[in-house]
Amino acid sequence: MSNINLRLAAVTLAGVASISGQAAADNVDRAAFAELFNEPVTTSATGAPQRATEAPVNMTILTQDDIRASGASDIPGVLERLANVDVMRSFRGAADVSIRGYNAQSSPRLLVLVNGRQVYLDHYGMTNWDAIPVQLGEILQIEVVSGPNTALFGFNAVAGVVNIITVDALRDDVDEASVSVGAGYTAGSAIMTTRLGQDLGVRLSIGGFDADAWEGDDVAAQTALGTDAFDPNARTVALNAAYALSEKTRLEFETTWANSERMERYGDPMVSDYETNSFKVGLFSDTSLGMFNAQVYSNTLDLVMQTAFAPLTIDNSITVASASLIAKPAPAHTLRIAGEYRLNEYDDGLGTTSYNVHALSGMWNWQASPALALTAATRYDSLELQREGASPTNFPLTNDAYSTDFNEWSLNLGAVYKVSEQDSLRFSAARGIGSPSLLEFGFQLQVPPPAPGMTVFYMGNPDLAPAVVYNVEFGWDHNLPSIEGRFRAAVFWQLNEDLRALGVTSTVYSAVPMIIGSGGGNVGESEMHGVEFGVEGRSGDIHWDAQYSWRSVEDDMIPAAAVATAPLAFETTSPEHVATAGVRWVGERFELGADARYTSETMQFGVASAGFDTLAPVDAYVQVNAQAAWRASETVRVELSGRNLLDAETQTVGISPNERSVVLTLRTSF
Amino acid sequence: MKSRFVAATLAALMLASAPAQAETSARDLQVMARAVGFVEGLPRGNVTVAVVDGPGADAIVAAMGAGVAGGGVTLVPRKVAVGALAGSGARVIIVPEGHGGSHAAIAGAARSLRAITLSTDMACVNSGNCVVGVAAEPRVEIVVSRAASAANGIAFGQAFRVMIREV
Repeated sequence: MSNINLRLAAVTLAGVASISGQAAADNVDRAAFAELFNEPVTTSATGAPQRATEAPVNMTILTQDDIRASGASDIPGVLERLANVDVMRSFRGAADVSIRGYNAQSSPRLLVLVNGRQVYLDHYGMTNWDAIPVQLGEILQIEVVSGPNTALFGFNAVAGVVNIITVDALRDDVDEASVSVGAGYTAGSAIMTTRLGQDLGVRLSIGGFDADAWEGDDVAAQTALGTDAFDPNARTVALNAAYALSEKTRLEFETTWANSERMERYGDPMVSDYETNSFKVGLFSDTSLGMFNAQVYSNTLDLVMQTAFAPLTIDNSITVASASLIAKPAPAHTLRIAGEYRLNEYDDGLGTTSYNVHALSGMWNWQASPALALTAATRYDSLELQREGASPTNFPLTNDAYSTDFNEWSLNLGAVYKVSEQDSLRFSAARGIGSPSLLEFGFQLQVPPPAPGMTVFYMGNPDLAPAVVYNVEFGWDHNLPSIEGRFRAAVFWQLNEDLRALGVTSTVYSAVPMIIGSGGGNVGESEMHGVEFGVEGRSGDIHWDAQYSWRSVEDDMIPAAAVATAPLAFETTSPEHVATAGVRWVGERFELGADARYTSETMQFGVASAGFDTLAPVDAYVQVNAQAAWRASETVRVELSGRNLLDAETQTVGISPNERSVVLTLRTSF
Repeated sequence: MKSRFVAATLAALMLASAPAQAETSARDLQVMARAVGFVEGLPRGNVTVAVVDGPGADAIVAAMGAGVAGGGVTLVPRKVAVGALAGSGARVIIVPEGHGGSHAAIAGAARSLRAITLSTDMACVNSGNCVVGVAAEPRVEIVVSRAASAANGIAFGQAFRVMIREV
């Protein structure tokens, strides 16, 4: 991984680059800049392009080489190599990812992007990783920011950011296909880039998988739904075209489609069918004023959830228009100004709950001296909520109750000080905002009553306050040239205010007839402090790394038992200790690698013996993965990957014990 | 006046006894080639680069061999005396270390050629005589003189400008 060896990462990135190293029309030709600076570059810290070692945030960049070496078959599996990333696999094909603890079912605290387009789903702020229309083979790098960065990205960048960057349709040449087979698992993908003339490039990718549910999935399905478990599957397609209007300006168009069927849970288990579509148009220009970017995109989600009592349909669409300008008006000063508008709508079949957001943001980076860089970024969001149309009969709130708004500001401050040629110190402080999702605001569902004559609704709460997160962090990076590696350390403190949960309130709106609403609410706050260490190095053809993450979480929330649906208890569900280690040997034709991850004991919701909303202990566990690859020829590669090799089943988090898997992949480029 | 004479004499003695100027390394040259790839308006492919003749020139030409490729260009070296630079037609000039006394003359020639000048001698860049300063070790550092690049009509992409240090 790039934080294991930035130089190796840079070489890998450069290997993806086309021969053109000239200033790219989208202004950030990551592969060419990685080749120039001998390290990856990113825009995920401040919006402006930066060398990874100069980013004023805690960031790890996973390169294409890291992804392939991980042996993972999905993005959460790649991210799991990082000790400060937590992955909760409640069912096969259903992963929730968080950074530095605070993971939960359908976790709404992470901003996930593909080439700047949000791919987290706005109905609940969660991410269905299987429905992200990107294949592992087309990912140039994954930029992982630990800690809030809402001053740049807006809502949802609360725990961190996962920015997935793909190869470029106009610059890169990647054509490959893969087929994977394992016990109860088949997958395939194809990626093609082509140039149509000098100025037009196209990237097409398709992929999908079919898997058998885990045995634990069956137990949960029988308990909650009275049926066998659903076998997860997914299909995705992405088409991207980039057209160079001139040497300095380019137009980009993208459309995607994805379908994912799986078991998951919002409280109780259910079977969900996701279908997503997106359209995006982007304009990028290197002007005399600076780098100008503008984009408009629309994401739609059609979601059908088979719950224990009824099918639930959710239609969500979001339209985002944004523009930004990055300029360097003076040698030591880089500025970024940006504006964004978003319209987010949720149609429940009777009415539409929606909000629009107007946002303005700015960033100032000051290279105060060759050794010291200071960064300040802020963003102001104004959200207006509303509802139109009908509601279920006897629903206790009128549409007027949804005419609310809030205005919030975010802040990110950072300083990077190069103490010596080998040492740099990093300080950051942030105030981030996490908006309630549309479901949390406007959910309206009549559920079977516990007694005749009663009417009961599960409902959102239009008066929810946004979560506010404060984060302060101090980091130290020390290069280790003798082993071509480096040591990293960070200590951090985080306060999460106004956390939210479903089913917190139970309000009697009418005695005769009896109408009860169970609504979401702000449940309190949670504080965390922690320490992280990482060391990486290289000796000849052997690369190795070790990471450790310690977090101490203290909740000040209403008791989990008082929450009827999907309660939170981060103090016990967040593992205190996580450690990872990996080693990899790269030979001329063969590659071998193994990695392990230790997670300390926790309490988790959904352990089969305890019930879905009851905390039960989960012992500490170790997951061991191993990979082998053989480059049969210049164009053919055979990979064997084993995951969770120590045990046939490992109770990690969530409902189902994660099962061992071994997958054989044949990959060919053309 | 006397103290100035003493200081100048001491400085001359120090220079005389100082080790030879650090040579521009092969990695420096590689970074230079890649940086040239980010210059707007320069031709791609083989680009003849004038290596200012004098101290360090032979080592640079030897290190470059038939050419150094990077960023879509291949820099092909040719030694050119300072006095002949203006008539060389070169668009890329490498200034070896140890040419401090000629920086102004080189800068004048480069302006007339609208050429980019590159050096590992940061003093040349800091004084506004060279356009790009490069250090490949221990970490790639690129410094661009705004004054020199404006005078020579050299423009870089905005992303490049944001990521390097300008003086």
